[in-house]
Amino acid sequence: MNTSIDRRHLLKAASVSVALPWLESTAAVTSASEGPPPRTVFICTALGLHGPALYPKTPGTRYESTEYLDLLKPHRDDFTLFSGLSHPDQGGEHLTLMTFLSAARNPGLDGFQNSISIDMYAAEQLGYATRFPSIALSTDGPLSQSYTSSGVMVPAEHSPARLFAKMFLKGSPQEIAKQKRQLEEGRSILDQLRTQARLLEGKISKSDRARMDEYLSAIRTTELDLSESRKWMDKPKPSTDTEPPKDIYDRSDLVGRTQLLMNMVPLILQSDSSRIVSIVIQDHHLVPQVDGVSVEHHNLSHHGQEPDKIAQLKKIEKHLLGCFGDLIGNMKRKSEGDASLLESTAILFGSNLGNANAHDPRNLPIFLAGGGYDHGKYVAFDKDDNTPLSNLFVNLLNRMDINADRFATSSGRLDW
Amino acid sequence: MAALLFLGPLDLMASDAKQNRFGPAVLDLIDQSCIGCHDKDTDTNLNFESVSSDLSNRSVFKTWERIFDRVSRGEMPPSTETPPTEASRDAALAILKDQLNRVSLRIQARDGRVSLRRLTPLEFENSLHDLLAIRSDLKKHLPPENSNTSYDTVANGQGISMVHVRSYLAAAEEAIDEAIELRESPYRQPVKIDYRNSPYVKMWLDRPLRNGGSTLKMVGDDFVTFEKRCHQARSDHMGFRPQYAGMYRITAEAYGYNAKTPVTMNIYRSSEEDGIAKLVGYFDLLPGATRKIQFTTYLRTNDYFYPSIADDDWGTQSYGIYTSKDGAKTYDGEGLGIKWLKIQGPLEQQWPPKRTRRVMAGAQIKPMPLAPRPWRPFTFGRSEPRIGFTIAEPENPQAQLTSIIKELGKPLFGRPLTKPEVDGFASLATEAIASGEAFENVIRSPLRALFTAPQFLFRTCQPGQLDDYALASRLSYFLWKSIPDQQLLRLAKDQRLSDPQELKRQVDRMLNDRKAERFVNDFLDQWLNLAEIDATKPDDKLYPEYDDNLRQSMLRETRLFFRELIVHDLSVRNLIDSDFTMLNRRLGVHYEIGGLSDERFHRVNLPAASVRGGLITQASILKVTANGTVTSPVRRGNYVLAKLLGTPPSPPPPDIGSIEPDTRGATTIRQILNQHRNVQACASCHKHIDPPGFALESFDPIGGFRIRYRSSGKGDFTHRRIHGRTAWEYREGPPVDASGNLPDGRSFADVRQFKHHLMSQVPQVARNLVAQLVIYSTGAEIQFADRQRIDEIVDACKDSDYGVRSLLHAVVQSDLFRNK
Repeated sequence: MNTSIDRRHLLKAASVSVALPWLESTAAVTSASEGPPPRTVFICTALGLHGPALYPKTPGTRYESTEYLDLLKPHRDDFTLFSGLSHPDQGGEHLTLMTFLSAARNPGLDGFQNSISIDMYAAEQLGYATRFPSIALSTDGPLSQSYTSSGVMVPAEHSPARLFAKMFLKGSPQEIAKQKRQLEEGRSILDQLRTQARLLEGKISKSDRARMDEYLSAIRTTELDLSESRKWMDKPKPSTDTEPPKDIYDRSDLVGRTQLLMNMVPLILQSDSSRIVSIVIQDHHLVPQVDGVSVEHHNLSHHGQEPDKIAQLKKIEKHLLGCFGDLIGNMKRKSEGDASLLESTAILFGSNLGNANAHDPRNLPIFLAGGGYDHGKYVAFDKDDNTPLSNLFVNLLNRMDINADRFATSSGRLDW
Repeated sequence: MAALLFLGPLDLMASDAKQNRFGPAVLDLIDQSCIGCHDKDTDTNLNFESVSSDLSNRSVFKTWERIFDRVSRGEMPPSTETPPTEASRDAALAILKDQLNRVSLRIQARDGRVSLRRLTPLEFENSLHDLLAIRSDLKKHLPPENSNTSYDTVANGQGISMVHVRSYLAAAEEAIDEAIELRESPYRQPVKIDYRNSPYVKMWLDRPLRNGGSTLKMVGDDFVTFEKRCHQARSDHMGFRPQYAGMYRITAEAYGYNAKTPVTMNIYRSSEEDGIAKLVGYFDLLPGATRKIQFTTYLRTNDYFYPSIADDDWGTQSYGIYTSKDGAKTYDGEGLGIKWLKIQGPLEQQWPPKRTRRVMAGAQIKPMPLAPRPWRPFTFGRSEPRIGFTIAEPENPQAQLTSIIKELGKPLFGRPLTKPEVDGFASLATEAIASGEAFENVIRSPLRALFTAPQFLFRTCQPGQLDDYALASRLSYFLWKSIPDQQLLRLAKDQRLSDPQELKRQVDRMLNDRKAERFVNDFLDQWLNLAEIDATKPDDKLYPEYDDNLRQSMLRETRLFFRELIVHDLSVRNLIDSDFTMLNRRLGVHYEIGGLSDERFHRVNLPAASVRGGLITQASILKVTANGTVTSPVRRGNYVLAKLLGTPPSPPPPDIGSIEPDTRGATTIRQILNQHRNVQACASCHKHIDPPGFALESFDPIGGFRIRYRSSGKGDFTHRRIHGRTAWEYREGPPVDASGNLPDGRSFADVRQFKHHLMSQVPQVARNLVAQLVIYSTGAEIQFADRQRIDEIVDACKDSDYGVRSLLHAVVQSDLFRNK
């Protein structure tokens, strides 16, 4: 655990609205401040973005604005828009939702096995430097895009109020004592499960031993996780003067729910609760509460070229892009020492579908904002021979000081 | 162990496929007929220049298995290539078959067919439900299964990770919380939902339509609603919100108000937190009569429920109540009248409930006075003393704990626990016992470990024949999706279950049990993709008649139909075409078949000219093979080949574009498809895939019969009536062409002729069903060596004309089922 890194960026963070009381308990600051730690946010809207309303014709810095890009005008210098990126060998209609962050090939085909998603991979590398190695958020229950290396989905948090409580609320001494007791109980149960698994060893065949090992390693990781959580319990939680969010239960209020999740992002990052955040925006079968929209979002995405449906679809997508714009604005306004929060945070916003009308997983709409990159460009890669989106992932990993020269289907590092 | 010695490297041949170790016959075939396309420049998934022949590698094995299949089915080489002579083809196939079989058998002898299988989320939940007599949703804690295998029971697709371990612990905690119910006894007498005297209802009666009111009215003492989702009638607004989760009985007397046709009373359940309304009961009300209804449903704490109307005629209004000038006062459409509505529960004979007695396994429960409720203003009279419960300190807590662990552990592990196992679990309570904790707290840790133990989560066995206990578990997780019951465990103990006669008796007993419904539902959900029923929602402009009632009815038809085949041992030929189906009134309307009175299902004989009959013309199947707006012959054709016949076509080459739907009414899907059917590379598969799909073009995405496509743009006005008025939402578009040619040259004009042709495939359908049952029940995909045994099972059932129950029995009696 690299504590020196913790201290150095905390110095910076201490001056912002989220106060970090645990800084005071850190005895001595050894190294000079080197600025805040790098963070990454992944946001996916699951039903694509209508291409004709999004893409300019001219690539480069002098691209003309479009219906969608108009919404992001104030932030033109803070983001780059990409076209011609995708994961190779995708299919299976909406199953690409599973592979947006993992780039595993052939979802939906016999024998498909998902692989680790980039957020989980980065979280593994960073370890328990923060209270939560990564945070997955979703507008659609536990559905996330975060997958472990064995291809298991890590459930997302969908209640901003609950997340807020986990991050900031301190709880009464009794509650803390109870939580600690539960953790202890969890640890002794895990210990017992290991003992029981050993008792089972004689009853399983040789060929099954590997799977039993997988189980034992799952037990081990859980133990590690519990003991890291236990350590964090003794460290006081950061405090904030932000009001706790109120969850929106009405699922058709997609925009409101999205906005709530987006609002959590600066809080998570500034309090250094985590440095990796992923968000899934999806609500296939609801009519989103947006003026002039009367059809389910998913059916609108299969617009069949009907002008009325396209018009309604654009209304929804504009609101979602609006949420993205607000997030950029918010992150710009929050300062950490000399720089804005956006400077230290790369935000990838995009979709797992290039053209949802045909479930086309190529030519994905991808925005990259912040993170200290040189922005203000529209970068168009070959639309017939796409560049792997994983190349961009490699770049994002490197930016987080994670030494990787490849990720999943990457063919190199994306430079533009 | 002897078999192991002979194993050695399974790859008997060189590493380069060109110097093929399958021998000259296979090499000749490749050189003559395959390599032309399948070389390193290929656009397909297969390149003979790089394919390995190390059959011990699973994916290499699969590749060669596929090559064998496609060549033996005559799909490859395509007609454009020089055809191999029959003799050279047969020689190559014989060698391949022999090699594949040999390797497959060796692996099975060494490892067994099935890897260590983990319980699915459904099986985990059912097991704890049955064990403890609890009902709460435990599945919600568990991560969804990876969808990379045909069934979630298949061991090779099941992951296990930290996410699982944490989820099991959380689910176990919830199960224990529910089981140990020591709160005070709830009020369990019927409660009236009183609309008459509700100020809340009154508010909506008086409010104008534009402000959301006036969609209900009171007629005398009767409450009348015209709303599809009548939130104004929410039970919590009338003072009812369950404080205790459990089973509740809802009773009512209702009628169709101003009704000339049947209307439907729907009961929805929801809660503020989940925000999703679930249809938990529906009842058809015939004109001119009131009807008493009664049903039970599970309610969670803080749920609410409300009645609503469905299938109502809108009178002179084009949008129902919402366009009526003064709302309910002048509305002339049909309404739902409720004379009274009551709810009773939680339905428990005694308190603390059965589940608490069960988890305590005989420990004595005694009353315990609780602190009085805090004083609140405006409560009158003296507050009643509150009595909760606690567990009397057992004389010997250690002994009591041990007996709980043994009793609850046995069904979970499917065998008696060993002493070290029992001691291990009990050791988790040592401290609590020593410190004098209340006994209900003492048992928590041991139970949590027991409910997440590897012996429960994994089905363990050694290669070779299953012992009686393992057989009992495999059987009960197959037909009940849950733990074995006392009788099965007793038979296993006496080693009588493996006796073929006894096994047959037990299968019959289990199929006759209500719990077998779980097998039917789960198997069909996965085999036929019925679980995908909500994957897309029909466009409400194109398909305005689709609603919750139709959705539930279509699922029920397929489930009851399959059940009917099991109960009466009817032939699998009924899956292709049948002279009956299972219908209720709503589905009858959808199929344009009359004579059904209400929501209850009946077996109905179909008229000779009916397009219905069999699986593939059932609305549920047609729904899951379409999206919300259009049908795709490719998708449906693929479904028929893969699901019904068990001959799935090859996946499309990577990165092939898919068809972009266009519903404006100008082009049909067939016109678009014809373009690519003319490309040779596509045609070799699509000549198999498309014909069944073409035949099913006669059915729209919600399974309605059609002769013209519905269009949202161009087209003629329709005469179809929905809600008692002419449908204005869509137009009649281009005509449907449901004709086609089978690859063998036979042609069909419509779906009836297509099904007639398909009847020649009855043995293949039987073979497929057996294969599906074997995969599902054992938890392993069909391996090469299994094929012969599946053929044997099918042949053995020829005399019963492949009766479904006979097939089920034959599967259970087979080596495939009775070995690891």
